[in-house]
Amino acid sequence: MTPKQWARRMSFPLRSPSVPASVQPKVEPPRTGVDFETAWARKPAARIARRVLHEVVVEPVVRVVADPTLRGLDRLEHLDADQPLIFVANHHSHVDTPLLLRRLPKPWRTKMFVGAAADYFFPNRLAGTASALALNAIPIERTKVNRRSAMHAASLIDAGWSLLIYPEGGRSPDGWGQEFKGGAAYLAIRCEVPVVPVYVAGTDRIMPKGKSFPTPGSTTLTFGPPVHAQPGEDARRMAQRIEQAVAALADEATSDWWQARRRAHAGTTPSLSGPDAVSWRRAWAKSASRNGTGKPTRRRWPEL
Amino acid sequence: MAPRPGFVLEVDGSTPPILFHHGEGFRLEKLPVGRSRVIYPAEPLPGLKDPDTAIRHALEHPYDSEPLSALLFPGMKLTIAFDDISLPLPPMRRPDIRQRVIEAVLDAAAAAGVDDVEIIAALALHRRMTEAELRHAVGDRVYDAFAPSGKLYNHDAEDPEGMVILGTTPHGEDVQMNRRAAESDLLVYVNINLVSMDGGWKSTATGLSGYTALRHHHNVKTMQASKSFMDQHRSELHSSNWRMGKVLRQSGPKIFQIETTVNNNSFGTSGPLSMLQKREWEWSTKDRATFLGMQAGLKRMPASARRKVFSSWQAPYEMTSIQAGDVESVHKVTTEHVYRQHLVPVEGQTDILTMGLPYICPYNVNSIMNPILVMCLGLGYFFNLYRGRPLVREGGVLIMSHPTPWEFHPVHHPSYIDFFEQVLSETTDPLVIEQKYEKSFAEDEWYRHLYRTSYAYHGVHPFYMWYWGSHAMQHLGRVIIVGGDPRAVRRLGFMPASTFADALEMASDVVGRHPTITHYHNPPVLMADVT
Amino acid sequence: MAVRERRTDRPNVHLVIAEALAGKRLFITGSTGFLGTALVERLLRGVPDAHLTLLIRPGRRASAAQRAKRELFRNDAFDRLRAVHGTGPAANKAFEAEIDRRVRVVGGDVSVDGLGLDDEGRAALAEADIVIHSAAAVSFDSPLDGAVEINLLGPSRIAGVLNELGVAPHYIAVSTCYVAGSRRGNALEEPVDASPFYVNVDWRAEVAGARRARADADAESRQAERLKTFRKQARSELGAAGGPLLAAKTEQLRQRWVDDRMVTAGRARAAAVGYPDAYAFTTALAEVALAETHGAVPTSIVRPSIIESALAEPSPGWIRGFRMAEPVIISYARGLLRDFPGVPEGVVDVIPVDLVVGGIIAVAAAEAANPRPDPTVAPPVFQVASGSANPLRYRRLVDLVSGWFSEHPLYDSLGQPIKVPQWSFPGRGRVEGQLRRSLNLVTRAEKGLSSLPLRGRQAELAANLEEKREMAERALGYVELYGKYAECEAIYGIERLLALQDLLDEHDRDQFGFDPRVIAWDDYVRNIHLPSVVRNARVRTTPGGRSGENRTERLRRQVLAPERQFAAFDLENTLISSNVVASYAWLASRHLEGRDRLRFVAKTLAEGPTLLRLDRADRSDFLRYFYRRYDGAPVDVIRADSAEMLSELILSRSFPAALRRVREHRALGHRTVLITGALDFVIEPLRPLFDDVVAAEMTIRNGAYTGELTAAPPTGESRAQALYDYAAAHGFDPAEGVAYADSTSDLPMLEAVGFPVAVNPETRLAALARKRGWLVEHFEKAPGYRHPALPLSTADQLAK
Repeated sequence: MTPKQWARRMSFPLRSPSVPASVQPKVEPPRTGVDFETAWARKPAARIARRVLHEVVVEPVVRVVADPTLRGLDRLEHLDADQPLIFVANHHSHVDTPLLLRRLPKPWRTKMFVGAAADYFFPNRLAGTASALALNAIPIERTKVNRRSAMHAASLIDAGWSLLIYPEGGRSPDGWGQEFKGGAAYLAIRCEVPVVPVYVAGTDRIMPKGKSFPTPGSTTLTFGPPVHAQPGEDARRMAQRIEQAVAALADEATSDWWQARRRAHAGTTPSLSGPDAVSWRRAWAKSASRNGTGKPTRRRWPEL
Repeated sequence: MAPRPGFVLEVDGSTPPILFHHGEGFRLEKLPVGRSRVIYPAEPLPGLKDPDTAIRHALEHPYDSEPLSALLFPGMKLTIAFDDISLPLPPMRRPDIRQRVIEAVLDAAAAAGVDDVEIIAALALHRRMTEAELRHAVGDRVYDAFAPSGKLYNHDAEDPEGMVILGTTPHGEDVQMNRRAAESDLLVYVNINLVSMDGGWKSTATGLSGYTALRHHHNVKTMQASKSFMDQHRSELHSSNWRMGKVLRQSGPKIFQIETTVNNNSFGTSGPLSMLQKREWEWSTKDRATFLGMQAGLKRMPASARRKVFSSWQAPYEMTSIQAGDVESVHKVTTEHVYRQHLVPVEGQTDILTMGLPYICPYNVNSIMNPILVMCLGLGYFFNLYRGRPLVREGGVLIMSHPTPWEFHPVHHPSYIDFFEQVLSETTDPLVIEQKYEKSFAEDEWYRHLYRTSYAYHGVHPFYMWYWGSHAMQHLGRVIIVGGDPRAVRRLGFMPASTFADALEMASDVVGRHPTITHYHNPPVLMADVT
Repeated sequence: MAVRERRTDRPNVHLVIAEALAGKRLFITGSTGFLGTALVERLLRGVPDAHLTLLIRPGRRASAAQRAKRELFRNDAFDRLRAVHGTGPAANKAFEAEIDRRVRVVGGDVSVDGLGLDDEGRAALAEADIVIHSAAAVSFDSPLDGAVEINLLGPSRIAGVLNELGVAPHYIAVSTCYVAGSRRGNALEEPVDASPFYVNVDWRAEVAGARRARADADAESRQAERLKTFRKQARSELGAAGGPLLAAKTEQLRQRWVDDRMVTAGRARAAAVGYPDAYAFTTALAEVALAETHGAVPTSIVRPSIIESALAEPSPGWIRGFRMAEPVIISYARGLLRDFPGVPEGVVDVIPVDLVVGGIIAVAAAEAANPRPDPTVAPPVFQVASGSANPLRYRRLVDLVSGWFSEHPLYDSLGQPIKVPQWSFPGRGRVEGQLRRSLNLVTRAEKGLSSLPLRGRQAELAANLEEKREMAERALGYVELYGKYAECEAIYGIERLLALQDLLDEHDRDQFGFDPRVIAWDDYVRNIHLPSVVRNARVRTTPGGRSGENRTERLRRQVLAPERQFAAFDLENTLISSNVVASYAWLASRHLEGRDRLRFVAKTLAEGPTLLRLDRADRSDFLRYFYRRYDGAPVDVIRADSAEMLSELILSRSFPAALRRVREHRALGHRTVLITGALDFVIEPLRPLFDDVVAAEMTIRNGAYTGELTAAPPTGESRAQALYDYAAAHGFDPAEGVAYADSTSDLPMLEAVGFPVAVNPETRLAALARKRGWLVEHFEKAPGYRHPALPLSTADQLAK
């Protein structure tokens, strides 16, 4: 039976129905981008599937590709386990999300959803479904504050889901950080949950923006003390404090905790976005602060 | 449900066998009906909900002292001292209280622009802490920031340039302190009060001191005059420390004392050892099953494997209070908090006091509990955990349960090994030991070298262990150890018994046929308030 | 066997010994022997005005006179003479004066032609009226050529010199009954070659043969492959003890091999011509030679059988030296001889020494009183034995001995009485086979154990095995020897002796009696002989444990005596139970993680066997080869790490008792020094424990070690040299030094000092230490601490 015969045999309902000419077809609003429906991804079936996917596929990949070491987890010791949190991290490459989803502390990791850029992760139904299933992502408008996606995220947090979000909105083009947006701060104030800053070091060397395959390396995740919203503080002010917290973490990871505290108090913490100068000086400064992952220099003795 | 206070159980026909700790193991013993009682500790008090905020609050609202931020100024010389591995017992889970407090103090110092900061582990004559132990106490962040540059180190009581004599008390006692601490603009002492003895001037005047000063109160006369050193008002040891405190106040550095107390949740309310925290008749089937499994497993293991298992246990302690400021006013508040957790009212003394010695004492963390430490834990610490009068009457019998193996840690306790071979083989009388042998051990060059470069307790430390039990030795008529290595027990001058029944039998010729018995159900820690 | 009636071929002349010998000059050889001492004592006490001249061989460090004073006159035999002058120092002085007055001592040697006499000695011999020759090599395993020179040629040499001097004193030669050879039947008092069973052998050919045998054996011992076996045997005995010591040992083994060859030659030759051993064989030929060469010198021959302790004179049970039967009796009493060959009804011909002395004196007196008309007549023979007149059956002797030891048992080291075994008189072959099998088993076990790297307590086990082997060898020796003597069942006639006795008056018969019938064997064995044997053998006869200090405490007290000057210590297995491989593995793995660490462990483990073999071969070569691995190691990193290694590796494997011992020496004022092949930066943290440290040093090039040593590592003989240099530098006398070491490679150092101490010794050193009576210490690690299998550095190493 040739494929043509096979195709003819397949009639409706195996094939999509043809539309009678006299009728005006009902125009479904395109459910892509910000309007993509992701509720199903939080049902038990999807969660179990995602759990298996993470344990079987993502975990070994993360171990081999990223070889992560964790620092500062003791700062989250006394947090209440069933209170959702908002995890805020700097964003260098796509490796960040699976790495964080596998290494954020236990009680919150199992009930976590990710704020992902609507235009990049939900352009069509297929990509949208994949993102929702694999990452439990929800679409967020990058360019302007979209009330509906913010309201949707807030309802999820109130329902006990923790949020992982990158305030920079996107991956840094040249390894330096970008300016923090207010989304996380707004949600923190509205839902009265603490924000936990996380600094990811080393993923920019594994798969920076524009590179499509990862080269294995080692990374370090540094968790900072939770940032609570001051009474009566507005989102913009808090977003600034969150950015300072992540910057202080970056400083702590590259130099040591005591110098970072002194610089933080003196307000001289080096900013994440790096020196605003010509690109070669930025790349040069970037490579200078290469360590922070703490691997020993080459060993001379004994030869093996 | 509010934590139940400690109480005294009168043993009757239906009382189940009582749990005795037995070093790295346990025993269940049936106490005679009608004339025995068991003192149970209080249940753990709830810890502070948000410790970090409580710490910051305590630093800014000290007792009889300006807030910490007011004491810090740019260009000052700040020294932070903290208690060594002998507290808390067993070691607590990370993050350690000292880490939280030290990070809070350093944060305040960073805010005030302080640059010259040194952090010292206040060992006195204990062994130096290894890198792993320091990281556990102060956390990786502080360790990586201060240790590589030599700003975080162990106190060295034998460093001639590193120690300084600050003066002498009216009683002629020299007051000695670490030079860096003495010459600092501010000395912040971070203390964990596990029992009522700790803290106050005993921390600052002893922790950073040396042999020249310690011998004035770590001697047989003071120990025997301390009825007991857990009760500060009737402890000669503390009065000597308080006299030294006065001298420190005049010619010593400005001291900002931070004292914290912990609840007695040594074994956790859930987890493998939670049944040790409960009362025997409240054990669930799961508790009983885990207990039997553990007993069977431990029996098959070699001793070193048992030690590894027990020394890896970390207690889920929670901070119940923190107060800072002037040493004496802070200590008053701390003592109240300690008593609130530990004190158990008990009426009248008894003929026989029984206790099950656990696997841990202040001086064998990550090490081996040698026979001398068994004596010190039983006759030194547990016997003296009383206020008013000792639990057992004058001339009574103390029955302790511990394997007391003839085993020593060659690196941590070199002077103990020689003390056990050369001194105890001659005499067990503390006064003779003090006059005849203490000086040669205390000033021995080799021990000094090991104390300063290896991880060994000071040459004189085994003597202090022996003086620690001298009050009990004077008070008691006989001491019996159940289930110990007979040779080692005899070397200590006590009587070995293979079973608890034999021990009672042996005690009968000292306290008669039907003596009254009290069992001290410790740990978790308790303190008997005997009227 | 009834006594044949007496032949009286001499008129019944009345003889008084004291008168006969009055004023006579007696020249005596072998006076320091058992028989000689008794003879000299009886003459001095029994014949007041006799003058004695003693021929004594000068010792290596003592002159003949000194040897006489020290070995002869200090013996308890002379107590009765000394008592005559009272007690206390004054009496001694008087006694010595009398001795000087009545006794003259001349140096000489019967095994040298011309007796090695100087002119004064020859003059003394010329003046002698009577010459008594009792010197002989009596031990049953004397080499053939030694026995020939002393026993065979000795008597004829004396006769030769007497003929040279042209004098004719009465010459009495002491021989032995066993010249009759291994046979049954009667042995009469007649010259050896007169007996029908004599095997005619030319004694001159025997002498030449013996001398050539010595030369041949000596030559063969110098052949290349023979010397190779000696070197191998020396190495197996001493291990890697360094060149000089091994050479000395090899030479000692070569000489011992030559002597053994001569002993076996002697035994074989004696057995071939029908004698129990070389002594009997050479003495028999001596008599034949004497008969030929005595010329005009009137000669008599006295043949005692097995001489035992005195019946009465100088005191009941007096004995000197352990020769024939005593060692067997003591071994039996200690339960070591399970069984012994022998025929129950066989005769044991034993004669007390004072009866033999009496016989000799009577012979001398008889000749003096009534000199024989023709001096050239064949020398008359007098046999002094109990076999014919008063025979002692073997079963009766064994019953007496086992009965006595059941009532007075000896006690072992634990204070328990030793039950003596019951003998079943088996044939010699069966006992020998049994003993030989057990000897082979023990030897093989001992060789197996000594190849294992045992130490301390286990090495003690190997040392016990060696002790058992020596006992088995001795038992085998006794069985072989006495087996042969048991075959000499001849009955020695004593007619002429008894005839002599008839001439004596009542007083002399009592004073110088030699009639064996007087001996009541039960009383003699139980009350006289056995108590004296036990008294003289250092055995314990009381149940109580050793009172006072035992040997170890006594040795330890000497080692820790204030007058010692310095104490030298080896490091590995003496102070710590770690070695250079462990410290290298620790330092190298200090900064290795993950895969590198695994690869390092695999590489080191693979090398293990070769390293061990090289170490057993030669210590300093091994060290030089092994230290090359430090090439390129950064000096600052190693110095920091070695401070940490003190705790993780060195102290955790140290022996606390050993460290205590070092500090005890220091407290006593001794100067302590560590001499080790380990590297100086490895033992740097141990420096405060000692006054000085001598260790291997390594050259440094631009901040890293080069792996080459600056000098030979102080091990083996260079360690002994280091010790000598150290002692010289500080002006110490090595004899007043103490040294602690654990293996035979430290033997040179141990032998260099006056007070060596073997610590946890290897098997070979344990055996040597036990044999030489050194102090052996067993230091152990602190009980309870179990360090990990592989000596690698980990951060929480101490959390155990």
